[in-house]
Amino acid sequence: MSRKAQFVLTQEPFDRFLARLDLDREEAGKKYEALRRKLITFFRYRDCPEAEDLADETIDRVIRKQGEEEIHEVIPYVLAFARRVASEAHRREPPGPPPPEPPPGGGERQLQLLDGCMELLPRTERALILNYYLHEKGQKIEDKRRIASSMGIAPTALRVRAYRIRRQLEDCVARKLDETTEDR
Amino acid sequence: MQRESESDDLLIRYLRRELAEAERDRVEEMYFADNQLHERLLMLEDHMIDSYVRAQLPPDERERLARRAQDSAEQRRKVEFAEALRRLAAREASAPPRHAWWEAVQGFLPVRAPAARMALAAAAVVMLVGPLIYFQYAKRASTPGRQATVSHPQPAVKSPAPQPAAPILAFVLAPIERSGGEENRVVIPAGEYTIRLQLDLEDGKIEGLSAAIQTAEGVRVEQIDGLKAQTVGPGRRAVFVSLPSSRLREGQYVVRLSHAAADRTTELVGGYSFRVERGR
Repeated sequence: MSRKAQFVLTQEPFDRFLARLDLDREEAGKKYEALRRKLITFFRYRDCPEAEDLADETIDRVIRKQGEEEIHEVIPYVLAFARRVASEAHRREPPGPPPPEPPPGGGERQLQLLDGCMELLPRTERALILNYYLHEKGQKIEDKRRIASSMGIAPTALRVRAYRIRRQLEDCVARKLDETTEDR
Repeated sequence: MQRESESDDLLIRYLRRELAEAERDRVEEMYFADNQLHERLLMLEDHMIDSYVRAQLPPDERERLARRAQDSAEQRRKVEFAEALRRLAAREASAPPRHAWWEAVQGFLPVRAPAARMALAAAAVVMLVGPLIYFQYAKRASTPGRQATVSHPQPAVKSPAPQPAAPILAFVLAPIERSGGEENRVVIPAGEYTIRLQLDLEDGKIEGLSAAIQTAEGVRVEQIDGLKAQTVGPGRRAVFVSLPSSRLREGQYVVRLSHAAADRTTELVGGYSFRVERGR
């Protein structure tokens, strides 16, 4: 169950929080997104259920705290706060017994959505990601070198490029999954 | 390299939840302070999940990951996404063969590639980004202020330098793989100009760069050494090259940007392409 509804924020403290991240609004937005992603990683690897909700809850509570106490450095403060939120989440929902192995062949829906998201990519990026993941797991290192060389970039840069396209696709699929869930 | 490997080991142990509490806390602090490290962590996670869906993980690790996927909706979503990506890539591979885009690109970058193949490849893959920033052909004498905005430090040019009085036409070229499927067009009106190309950089190399401009048939037009990257925006760097417009006839061109390492080996750091059209 989502806990988002418990926190109602007004624009002003949110703007103040963004300004703490960066005075340039656009840069602040990017830093906000990066921070949120890190929080999601943090909660996932603290084995907290509903990591995204907890990431939002952490940020909301930090924003509210701005008015109550002086925050010297935002990022360490957010991390420290996230640790507190993780402890609370574990107290609320202690880990259950080990679940059974997930059924094979799942993710049909994701496959359909991914197909749609792929179509939104420029042709070059689509080809890059498909080639990259076709040859994933190192058995085609030469192919990757060839792809990288053809593109005029280093293999490391190719890896980063593939990662970023993958993130883009993953976000697109997640958005569409959320949309279809909300429609039901 | 060694340091990256050590840091990867730590990150992998974090992903496997093998770290003691103090170490885990330290890793969290590290990636909260460093965007690149967080990106690297997620790349390693992707790799681990890909290995899982390809059944390439050791049994105990596979079991742990399966359990987490069952426990957490986010983790399950990631696994299903990796599986979908794997299946889509496999489906693509089994589709009727077609000329891969990157093979086409490869075709026109090396000098030795046949002319027809190069022209076709260039036409198919060359993307447009510029002219994006500015088109300036006011005479220097009449617009000193504007002229200052485009007077980047000049690189060492082996070939004859452009005439100082020639008006400047400036174009921005994105690397081929980032150009989004459109063609770079460099439209040169009648007259003599200095063509200034901004080569946006993906790679981290900033010094010791060389740009070779050649036709699609592999005929070298210009070789410029000793180039240095300049900052053109937040987190964005580019290299500027200039040449007289008289050197460019109508047709397709390729720019290879390379970096000379200390051991004298040369590494390709960027490939760019553009089509020159002459105004009447």
